[in-house]
Amino acid sequence: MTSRDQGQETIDIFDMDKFVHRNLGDLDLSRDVATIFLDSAPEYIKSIRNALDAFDSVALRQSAHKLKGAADNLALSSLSKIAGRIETIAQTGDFEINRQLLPELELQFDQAEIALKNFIVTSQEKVRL
Amino acid sequence: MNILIAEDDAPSRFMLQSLLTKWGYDVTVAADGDEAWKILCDPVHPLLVILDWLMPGIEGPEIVRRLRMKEGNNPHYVIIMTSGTSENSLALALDSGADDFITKPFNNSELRARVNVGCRITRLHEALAEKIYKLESATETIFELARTDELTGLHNRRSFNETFTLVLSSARRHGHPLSLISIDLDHFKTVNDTYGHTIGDMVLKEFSDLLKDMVRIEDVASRWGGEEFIIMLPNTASEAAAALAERIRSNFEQQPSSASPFAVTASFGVAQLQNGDDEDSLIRRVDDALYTAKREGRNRVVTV
Ligand SMILES: [Mg+2]
Repeated sequence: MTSRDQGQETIDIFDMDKFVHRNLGDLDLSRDVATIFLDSAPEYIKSIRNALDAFDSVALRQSAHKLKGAADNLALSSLSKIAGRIETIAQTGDFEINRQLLPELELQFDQAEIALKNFIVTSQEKVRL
Repeated sequence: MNILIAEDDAPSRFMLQSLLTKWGYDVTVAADGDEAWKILCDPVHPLLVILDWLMPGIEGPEIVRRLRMKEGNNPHYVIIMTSGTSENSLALALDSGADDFITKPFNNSELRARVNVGCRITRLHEALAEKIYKLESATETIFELARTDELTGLHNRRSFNETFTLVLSSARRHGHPLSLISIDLDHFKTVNDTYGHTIGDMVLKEFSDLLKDMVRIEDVASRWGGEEFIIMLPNTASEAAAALAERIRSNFEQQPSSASPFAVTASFGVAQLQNGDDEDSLIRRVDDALYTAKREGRNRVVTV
């Protein structure tokens, strides 16, 4: 794996430049939005899990849609992609495939969480320097 | 300019709110469709509205449909936010009645430009609504003036005639009594000739104020022209009308006038609607009664 590939993979998890630009370069605002996302996203994932357990395809579609939108906004493209797949499949009513996608979703969220927490800490250090 | 944002995703909502605040807008936020609708039902609420398409509670397009049904002269400017595949985008957003749409995640210069357009159009709507309001109240004033006697503030002849036709047909239909009192101030020409028109006008005003005080709210007291007056009394038989005429006559005779150095009196004719009467015949009869009162020596009430 070349260093360029690693860079691309990192950007797919969290595109910091795109996100900060979206916040007009305001790092304080960016950190606040990231913090709110980290508070909210576990609930979104929980409602996805609940909807799967209840075989509720409408609730599944809605909660996956919400997570996708939130991830898009934070420039978390890998997380957005997997949430988007769940949203699309939810419309077919196939709960089994979606259940299989759940670990992948959780993995992508963990990666995003690490990247965002890292961003919150390092962007603050930059200001202090 | 105040903007309402309705968005169920907390980080997106916070970001949108922060950006709009940076750009100088006042922002009201709602976390779902029901909360947004509640805010929009307040008597005073933002006219520029950014709605998420898919939210718990009432969804964006349904909110727009409801808004369009209730808004009057001051319409809202609504931007719908859509994201990606599951929502059928542009055409559906606009078909629901939205003015514009924006796709998420939004490009912030595009967002800013679209919100600015919305702000400009909302200002135009507001200016237009204010003009319409002023025009409507001016029209109302003009109608009011066209029906009012300028000097006395009583109904004028046109207003009397319009109301008379309606009241007469209603009385006939329901078999209710209807009476008229016709009035003429006595020797009024002498007042004008001796003391001038200014004093004459003041006497007319004093008499009109007395009429306004003494008639019921449903009675129509009008200046017929010159020193002639007519009162229409719905649901009133001639006896009650004559009694009122007598009270007016006696009060006017006794009331010391601040304008005229000598007491002015008035003569009264009273008539009640009979079978076969139309507007003209009833007015003719009440005027006959008035002339009889004049002939018999003035300052009296005569009923036919
Ligand atoms: Mg939503």
